[in-house]
Amino acid sequence: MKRILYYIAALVITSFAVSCENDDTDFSDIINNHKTDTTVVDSDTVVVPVIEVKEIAIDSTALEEPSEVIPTDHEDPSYEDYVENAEFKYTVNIHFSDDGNATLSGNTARVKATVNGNHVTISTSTKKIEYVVSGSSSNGSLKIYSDYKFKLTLNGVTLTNPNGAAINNQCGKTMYLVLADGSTNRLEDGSTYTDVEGEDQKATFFSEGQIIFSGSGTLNVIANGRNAITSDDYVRIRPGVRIYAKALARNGIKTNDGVWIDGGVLNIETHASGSRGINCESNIYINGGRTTIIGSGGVTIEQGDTTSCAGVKCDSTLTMTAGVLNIKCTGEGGKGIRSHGDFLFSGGELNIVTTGEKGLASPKGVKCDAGLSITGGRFYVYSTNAAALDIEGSFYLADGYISQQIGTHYYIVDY
Amino acid sequence: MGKCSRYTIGLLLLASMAIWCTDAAAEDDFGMSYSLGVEKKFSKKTKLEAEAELRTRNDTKTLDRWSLEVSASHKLTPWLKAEAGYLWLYDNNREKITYNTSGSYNNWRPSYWGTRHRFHVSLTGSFDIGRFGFSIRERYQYTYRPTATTTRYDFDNEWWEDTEVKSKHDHTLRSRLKIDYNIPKSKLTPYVSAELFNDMSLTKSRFMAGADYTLKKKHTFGAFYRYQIVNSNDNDNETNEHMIGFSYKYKF
Repeated sequence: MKRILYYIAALVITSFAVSCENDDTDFSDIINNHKTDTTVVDSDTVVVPVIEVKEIAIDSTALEEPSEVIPTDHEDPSYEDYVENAEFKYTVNIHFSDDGNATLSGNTARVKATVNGNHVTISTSTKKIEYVVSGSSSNGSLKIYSDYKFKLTLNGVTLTNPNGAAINNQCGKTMYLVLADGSTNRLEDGSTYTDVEGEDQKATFFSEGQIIFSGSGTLNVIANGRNAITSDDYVRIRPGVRIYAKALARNGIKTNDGVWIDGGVLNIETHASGSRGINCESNIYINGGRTTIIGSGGVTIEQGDTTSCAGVKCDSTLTMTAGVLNIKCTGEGGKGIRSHGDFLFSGGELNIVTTGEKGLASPKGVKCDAGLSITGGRFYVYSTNAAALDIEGSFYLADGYISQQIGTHYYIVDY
Repeated sequence: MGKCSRYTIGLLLLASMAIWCTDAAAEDDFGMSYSLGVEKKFSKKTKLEAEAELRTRNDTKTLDRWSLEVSASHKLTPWLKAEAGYLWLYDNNREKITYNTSGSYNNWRPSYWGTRHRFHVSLTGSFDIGRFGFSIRERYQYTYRPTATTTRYDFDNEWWEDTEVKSKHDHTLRSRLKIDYNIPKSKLTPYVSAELFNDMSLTKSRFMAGADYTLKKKHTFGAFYRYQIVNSNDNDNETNEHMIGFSYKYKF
């Protein structure tokens, strides 16, 4: 009896002695050496793929764009967005000058104008007015109250308002913002704003209504205090337009109801913590042009919520069908794209590089709370210190791509 | 050859079988089971049992679980027995790896130790045909796993973070058929059994062959081989498994 018990005891003790390993997968190399992008060929060979980290910088070079198709069907939902489909009977010229007061000419009887130095306020209930703005002032602004949509042509204007928005449109209707052919225009705000109660002025170039950019001139917007360009409605950017927006305190372009980039050359720089190159509370459509966004901001914490910088932040669906979108974020936790809705990528070229450190936020290439669908184009995302993709919803990759490279820090698909 | 020597040879044979099983079915796991029990009879119909068990896995290289069980049984009729018991389980829960949609690693939760509580009730009907004894046991078991907090590695963020493993309630119906054989003038009772686990669908099947050896009516030594097939994923990451088990029970 004792002998049997001895045998059993010996067996149990031996078993205990050999049962102290754990059966977990050995991730120590990945965790300790961050070798997440290695490929194990066999037990002795580990391949580290060489991934080209794209250089992304502000790019103001000329862009050849396909000719634009202007909708002629009144039922087309975008018909009203084309200045070609609108008629303007009256012209009011506004000229700014540091040598004296701003001056108005043309059909001035159609508007009520208040001129205080180079601060001009226009009020009107007349339809079909075009304002042509020119000249220069280091202490001036233009504010417009209108009951109807209007056309605002910037024809070589340089305007700085040290105390608020350079252009403040309080009209909730469409503003056709036309950059006169070959003109260079510059708007700048101050680092502090003097607000009027009951009125918004959220940006250097602010509009209550939608802003439709067209023409073939250049607009440079410098924002020291708030956003660079803001519409409480939506923004559409048409081919031929050249915009450079530099935001030191907040976002590059901020809209409530959508962004359409149909063409043009758009360059955006943001520097503030928690800022976004394009920040939209609704849908974003990128259908052409070349958009380049450089963000260097870090992370902000407000009431316990962490907000990190992002090239594009979209609260609804982000759709890209054509054009080029380049994003580089270098600040701590700075993301390339932050989408709360689906990200539908069907064409064009997307290049995202994030190089920020990981801290309170993670500098992911694309973070999407919904699904990501890639069905065409060229999709390039590289994050030095975080995951290239963080997709909460479904991931759909259509067949037919030429190549695909997958790593934790990069994701590249080419059709 | 003495009885003890014969028993020792039996153990060695089982151990050899275990090694064979490990080599033969590399894709299946292999583990051992050791149990110590006591049994107290209060009457011819009623008894109380307690048992401690240890299991290993990963070809016996890893401790799988500890358990302590108390149970009581009562013979309702000469052929029908009712039983109820409680089992405290301390499990080495297996690792869990999740992947991103792109195929790269998402999270890794290493194995961790956690408790479970199990209650069971069963009815066993038995009858003899010649020297063969047949028993059919139907058991309902409820297992509760409390919420546990452990850590996981986030490959995307490259950091460790706390993660909560939510509580879980399992209801399982176990159906077992067991056939033993009463060898004339022998204290050895060999048996085979098959058992199915149902949780609205078949989750596991177990097939056993073993023998009990009773010494002086007080000491019962048991040894068995068991093969378990996992029929559907029950989220515990269990795999098909060969198992060799040894048991000792003291009756008083």
